[in-house]
Amino acid sequence: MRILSLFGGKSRRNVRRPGGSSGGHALPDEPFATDLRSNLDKLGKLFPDTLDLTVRRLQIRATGEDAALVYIDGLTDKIDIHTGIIRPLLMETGASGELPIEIGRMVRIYGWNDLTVAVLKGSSVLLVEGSDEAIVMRTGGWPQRDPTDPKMETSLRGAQMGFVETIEQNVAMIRRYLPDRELKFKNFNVGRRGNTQVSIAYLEDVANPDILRELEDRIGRLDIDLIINTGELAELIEDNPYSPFPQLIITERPDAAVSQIAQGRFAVLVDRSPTVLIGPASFVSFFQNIDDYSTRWSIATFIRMLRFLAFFISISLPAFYIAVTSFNFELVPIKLLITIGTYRGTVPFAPFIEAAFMELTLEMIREAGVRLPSPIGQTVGIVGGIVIGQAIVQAGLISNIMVVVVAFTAISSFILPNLDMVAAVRIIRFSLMAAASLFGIFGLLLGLMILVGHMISLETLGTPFSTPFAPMRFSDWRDTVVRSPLWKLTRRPLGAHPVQTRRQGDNRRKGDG
Amino acid sequence: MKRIARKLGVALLSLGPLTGCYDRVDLEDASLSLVAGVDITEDHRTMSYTSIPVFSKAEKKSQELKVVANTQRQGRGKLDAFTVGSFNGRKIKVIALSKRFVQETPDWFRYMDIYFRDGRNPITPRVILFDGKLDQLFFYHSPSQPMLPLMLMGMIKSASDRSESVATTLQELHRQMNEEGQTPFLTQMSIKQDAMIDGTSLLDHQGRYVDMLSMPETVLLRVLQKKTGESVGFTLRLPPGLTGSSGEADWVSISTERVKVKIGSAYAGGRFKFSVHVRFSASVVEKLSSLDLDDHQREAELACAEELRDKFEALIGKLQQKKVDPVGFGIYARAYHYQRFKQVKDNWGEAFGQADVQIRVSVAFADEGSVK
Repeated sequence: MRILSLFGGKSRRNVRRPGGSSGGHALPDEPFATDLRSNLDKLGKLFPDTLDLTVRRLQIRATGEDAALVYIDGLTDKIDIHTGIIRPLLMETGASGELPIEIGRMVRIYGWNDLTVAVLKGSSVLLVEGSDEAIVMRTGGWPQRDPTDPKMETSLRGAQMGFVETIEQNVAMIRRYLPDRELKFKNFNVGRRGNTQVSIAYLEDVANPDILRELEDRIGRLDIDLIINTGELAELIEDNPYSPFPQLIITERPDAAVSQIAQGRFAVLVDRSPTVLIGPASFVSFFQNIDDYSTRWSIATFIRMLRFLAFFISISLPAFYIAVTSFNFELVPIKLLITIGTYRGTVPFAPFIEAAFMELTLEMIREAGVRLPSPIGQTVGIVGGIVIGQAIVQAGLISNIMVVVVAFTAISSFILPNLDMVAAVRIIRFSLMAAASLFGIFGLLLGLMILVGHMISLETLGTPFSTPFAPMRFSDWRDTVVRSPLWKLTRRPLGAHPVQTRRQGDNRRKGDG
Repeated sequence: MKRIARKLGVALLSLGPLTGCYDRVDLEDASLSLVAGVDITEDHRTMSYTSIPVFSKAEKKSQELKVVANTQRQGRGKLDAFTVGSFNGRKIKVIALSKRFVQETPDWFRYMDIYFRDGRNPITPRVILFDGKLDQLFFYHSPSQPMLPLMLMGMIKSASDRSESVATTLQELHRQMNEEGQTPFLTQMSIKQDAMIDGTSLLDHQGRYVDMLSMPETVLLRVLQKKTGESVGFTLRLPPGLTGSSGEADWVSISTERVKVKIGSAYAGGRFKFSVHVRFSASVVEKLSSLDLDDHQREAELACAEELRDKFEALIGKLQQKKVDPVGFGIYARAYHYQRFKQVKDNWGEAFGQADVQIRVSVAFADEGSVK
C-alpha cells in the first residue's frame, strides 16, 4: 500500500485539466534534450517495435537546422503532412523567422509525456536540433465514417443524421443547430489508458450551475482504464445503478440532444462513441420523441398517451393475467372467464409457469433477432412466430390466451421510444409476474406501489426523477402526457432547474391578428 | 451492495407473514358455481343446486348437480364430492329459488346468510323465483340456448333493460327484506315451451310469495318506481269515437322519451293518501287508424293518458288488494309523516292496502313519426 502510494497514489483521484498529460504509466515528465540524436534515441526506447511510428529526418531550408518529424502512419492525414509540413519545411525560404508550417493548430511542448500522448492521438511532432521544445501539429486523420441516419432512433420528420465516432464532428453537429456564444463545451480526459475526451455541452445562461458542478464532479472523479462507449460512462455516473430505470438518456440524434440542451439540460459527448448522454432525465423524458414536436400537437398528444398506456400494459398485463387466472377470477366478466377457462382447461402448466415460459421465449427471440445478421434474423421471426406461436398452442402446451397476452405485451413494449426504458420494462414485468403469482392482484398492486415509491425517491443528477408528477410542477405538465401546442410552451420545463426559464414569447396572436 | 442486500432481505422477510400462495386456485382447477339454486323436497328438506362450467374438451359445457343439505354451506361440502376441481361460490351470478321453497319455508331468507357473512361470496347475483321444481330448470337443456348461467343472465338483462322485468340482486333483496316501507319483488321464470320470464313475483314483508305481475304490469311498476331504464313502450287502444274506425284499427303504440313521476303524500281520516302524477313525453311509433294526429293531437294524448291511467289504477288496485307495496309508497309515508308511519311500520302492507291512491297521467306527443 505504501509503495503504491509512492508511485500512483495521486492518480487514484484522476482529476485532470483539459489537455493534461497521461498519468497511465506514471512516468515523471522528462524534458527534451537539446541534442536531436539523443532525443531520437530516447524516442526509439519509448516506442520499441512500433511499426507504424514514422520518423522523418529532414533539414529545414529556412533555418538550415536538422529536424525530425514524428507521427504514426495510420492515425494521421498524409496529405496534411506532405503538403502542410514536409514540403514547406524543405522548400520555403521563410523570411520571418517563423517555421513555415501550413497547419492550423500548433502547440509547443517541453516533455516526453506530452509527446507520447500527442503522437498516440494522431498529431505530428517536430523535434528540432538544438531546441529543448517540440512542436505538436494537429494532423489527425484516422479511419472514420460519414454521418448516417440513426439506426435505433429513426424519425419520420427529423434530420437524417446521427452522431459519429469522432467527437469533433459531433461537436460540429451540435453547433450547427445552436450557433450561440452561450453554448459551452467543458472538456475532460477520462481513462488512464484510453485517455478519452469527454465534453459536457450546455447553454451557460440557461443550464443550472449546481447540476453542472455535480456532473463535472462525477466525471472528474472517475479513475478507470478505458471508456469504450457512452453506456459505460452512464453506468459509472448515474445516481442509482440498482434501479431498473435508466436515469440518463442515451441518444444518437443530434437534434434530440440539442433540443434537450435548449431546455437547460446537459449533453455529455464521448469521443469514439456515436451516442451522447443527456441528463438530468426525468421519467417522462423517456416517453418523448423528437417527432412529437414536428407532428401536429393533437396527434402527438394521442401518441404520448398511447405510450404511457403501452408502458402500463407492458409491465402489468402478464402479471394481471396470472393474478386473474390463479387467484382473483371473480374479477373477470363471465363470458371472458368461460373463454379463458376453455383454453386453460387443456394446458398442463400453472399460469405462472406458462407466462414465464412464454415471456422468456419472447425475450430470447428478441435477443436473437438483435445479434444475428439480418439475413439470418428473418428465420428467427419465422421460428418464433410460426413454430412457437402456432405449434405450441396446437400441442396444447400453452393456451391461446397466453399467446395473445404475450403478443400484446411485446407490441406495447415496441412502441416505447427509448431502448433503455424498454429494458427496464422487461425487468419490472418479470418481478411483477412473480409478485402476482404469489399474492394475486394484491401482489400486483403491492409491486406497483413499490415501483411508484421507488420512482418518487429516485434522483437523476441530484434532481427528482419523477418530475413533474412528484414533485408536482403543473406548468411542466404541458409537455408530458399531453404535448400542448408549441406556442403554449413558453417556459422551459422546471425539471432541469434552468436559470433562465423564458423560452419564447407569444407566437400566436389572439383574434384576427 | 451490502445495504441493498440487507434491504432486500428485510423486504422478503416481511412478505413471509402475508397470506401467501396457499389460497391459490388456478382457474381450471376450480369448480366455479355460476348458478346456485335452493328447493325443498317433498319432506321439506332443503336442496342445493349448482351449475358449474366444465373447462375441458368434453361435449357438455356445464355440469349440474343437486344435493340435499340443511344449509347452503353444507351443500357446498357435499357438492365438492361430485366435482373435479375444488368447489367454490365466488362467481355465482344467479340464485334460483323455487316457488315452493319460497311459499312453504317460513323465513326462507336466512338461508342466504352465507352470502353476506362470508366475504368471499358475491352479493351481486341476481335472484330469480322459478315457478316449478328446480330439477326442471337445472337439468333443462335447450339446444338453441347457451349454457344455463349465460342463458339466465341474458334473459334477465334483456328483459330488465326493456323494463319488462326486474333484476333484483341479492344485496337489493336484502335491503327490500329489511325495508319497512316496501315489499320485496323478484324476477319470476318458468319453463313452458322454452325457458321464459313470466314477470315479477311479489313477496310480502316476511318474504312469503303473494302474487305475480305480468310483464306489461311490471313496466308500470318500474315507471312508478322511477326505474325505467331505456324508453318503454305501450300499445294502447284509442276510443272508436275518436278514430272513427272499426274496433280492429284503434291501436296506437307509443314509446316514451321521458317519464316524470311525482308522488305526493298526505294523511287524513285515519289513512294515508298518495297522489301520483305520471307525465309521459312519448313519440308515436305505430298507428293503425287513419286518425290525423296533427288535427287531433290533444284528443289523442288525452285518450292515451286515460287508457294508461286505467292500467295504473288496475295495478294499484291489485297491489292494495294483496297488501303489498313493491313501489315503496311507504318510503314517502315515512319521510313525510313519520309519526303516523311509526304506528303502522310493523305492517306497512296492511296500511297501504287501506290507503287512498290517486293517479293522474298526462301524455304529450314529442314526435308523431316520419310519415303522415
